Amino acid sequence: MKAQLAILSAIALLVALSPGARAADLTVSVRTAAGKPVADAVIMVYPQAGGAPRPSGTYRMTQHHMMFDPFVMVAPVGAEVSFPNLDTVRHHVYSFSPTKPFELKLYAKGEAPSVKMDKAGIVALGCNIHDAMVAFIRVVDTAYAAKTDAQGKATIHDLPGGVASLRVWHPYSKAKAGETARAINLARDGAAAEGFTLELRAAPEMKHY
Amino acid sequence: MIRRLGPCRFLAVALSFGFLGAGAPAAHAEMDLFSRRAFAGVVDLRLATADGEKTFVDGGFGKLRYGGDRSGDWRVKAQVADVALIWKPQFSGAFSGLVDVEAQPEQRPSPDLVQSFVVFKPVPKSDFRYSARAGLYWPEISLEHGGPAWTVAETITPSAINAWVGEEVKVLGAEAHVQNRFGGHEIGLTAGVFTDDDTSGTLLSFRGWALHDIKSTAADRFPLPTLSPYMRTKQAPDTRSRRELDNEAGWYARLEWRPPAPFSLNAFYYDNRGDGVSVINKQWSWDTKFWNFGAAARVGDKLHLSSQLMFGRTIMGFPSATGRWVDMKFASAYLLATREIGEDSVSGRFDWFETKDLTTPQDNANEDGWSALAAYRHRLNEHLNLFVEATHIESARPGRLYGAVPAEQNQNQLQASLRISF
Repeated sequence: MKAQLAILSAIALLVALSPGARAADLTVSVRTAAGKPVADAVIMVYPQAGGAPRPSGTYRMTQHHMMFDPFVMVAPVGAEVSFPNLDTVRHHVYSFSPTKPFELKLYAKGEAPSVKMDKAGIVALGCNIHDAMVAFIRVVDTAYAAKTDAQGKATIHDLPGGVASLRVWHPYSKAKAGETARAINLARDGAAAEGFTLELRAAPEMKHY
Repeated sequence: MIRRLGPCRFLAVALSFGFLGAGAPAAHAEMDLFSRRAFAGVVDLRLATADGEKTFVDGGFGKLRYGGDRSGDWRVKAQVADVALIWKPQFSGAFSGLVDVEAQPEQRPSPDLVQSFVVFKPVPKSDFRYSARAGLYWPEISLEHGGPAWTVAETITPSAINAWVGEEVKVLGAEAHVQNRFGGHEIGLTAGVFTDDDTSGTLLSFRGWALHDIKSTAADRFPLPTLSPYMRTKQAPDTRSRRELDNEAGWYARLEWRPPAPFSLNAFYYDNRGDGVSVINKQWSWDTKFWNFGAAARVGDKLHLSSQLMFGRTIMGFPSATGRWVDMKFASAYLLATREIGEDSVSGRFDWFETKDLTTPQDNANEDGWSALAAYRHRLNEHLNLFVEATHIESARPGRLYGAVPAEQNQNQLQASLRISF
């Protein structure tokens, strides 16, 4: 028994000391070529060491003032996303994206039907009653994902060190499939920073009533 | 028989389509005919003052909803400018309807049916989507109207173009719409056939362009100003908005382009295919055709620009030595800028309008003019918006002389409107 414990402790120590086992923080800053910060870009890090996402907390895509909020949501595979209607009018939310085709037939204020996002990818949302309503859910299959804020920045905490693939996606990015990727080598600990320049097409003009 | 039903006819046509839809296999959970959410309404409490000539509402040549007193001085009017009750039944997930009954103090009968249609709009399964609509409705021309009671979103008063659409371009018809996306570009095509819009062109010819928010109803009549002696024996002193006189269906088509950029463009063509000579009770079938081009753009995050250009021609009456009784070209354009300020907005609009009479001087329908408007919309809460608006308009119309009114007129109008929606 003592021997087993000693072996386990030794393994734990080795894992802790081995390269890539410590945690690092990565801050990614996304801007346009003109230097304007890009909000709502989804940053995804895929460390070689892996790291499957664990859905936790609540994922709410509200409808308020005839708009979806947030415009872009990051949700891990397996997340149950609710769609609360905060408007006085009915909404009819749908997606025909191959990632998760679904339809939430007409529901009223106070109702919050939900959909399980069981596959990674992009889910573009619309409302069959209000054509101007548009939003996106990026369903991710990594534990390390975040969305840039108004300053165009996102920080991902507790990344394992070592080689990783860093991907940036934005619904209006002109890159193929809206995604830009690069390989990075993260130090075992401390803070790292990466910068991306995205070429964005302008958001379409919607009727503003 | 159906003609004798009058306004009920519109309701009957729309509802029969609706119940056809309801009869289709549909989940009953999606049906919502009479819950609270199937009803909506708008009440418009108005305080207005204007100077200048007598408004067309009272049989004058004035181009605004309100006008000055007998001597042209400022006159104040407080009124409930509109009460709209809207029924929005949901027959199934894809089939819905809208019935809009409104009381407008200037209209007779009041209340009356304003819109009544059914929509078939299945949830898209791909970038290709389609929908259809049938009943009494306005074809999609206006870039200013958006509310369920066909209210203007950011101002009280619509442009000259869309005020005329509100008067004389409502149809009893059916339309189909398809759209697809090609690499971020969205192309939409709508085509429709209609009846009951044979008198379209009457107001535009005898009164000219106007800027106001009175909507035509199923059975209403708009007063005409004093007609020329030449026309007085031929045309009734008012015009019915909805009449089918020659039993020829009209048609329209609309093409829209939404590129992956902050603007959109559309083109619309209308032809009521009126024969120009069919007449009942001095209500004539007019041959009216027009183009409308629309553009909307966003500049930055807060500034919205929209513009429409309309031009067309309307013809009425029998051929004579000097041509048809009325043969008139018409054109108008506006540019509207709206800047969002938090949940409020400030708007400015410039309108230009013109008509060109191509026939004898016995009935002069020539006109030209412009208008400038400034409006502020203050959102009080979910149900209340307060609008204030100032309008200045200048126009020249020789035909005013038939009513002993000087041809050139300037006018100012100030309005405040509390728009309650529920």
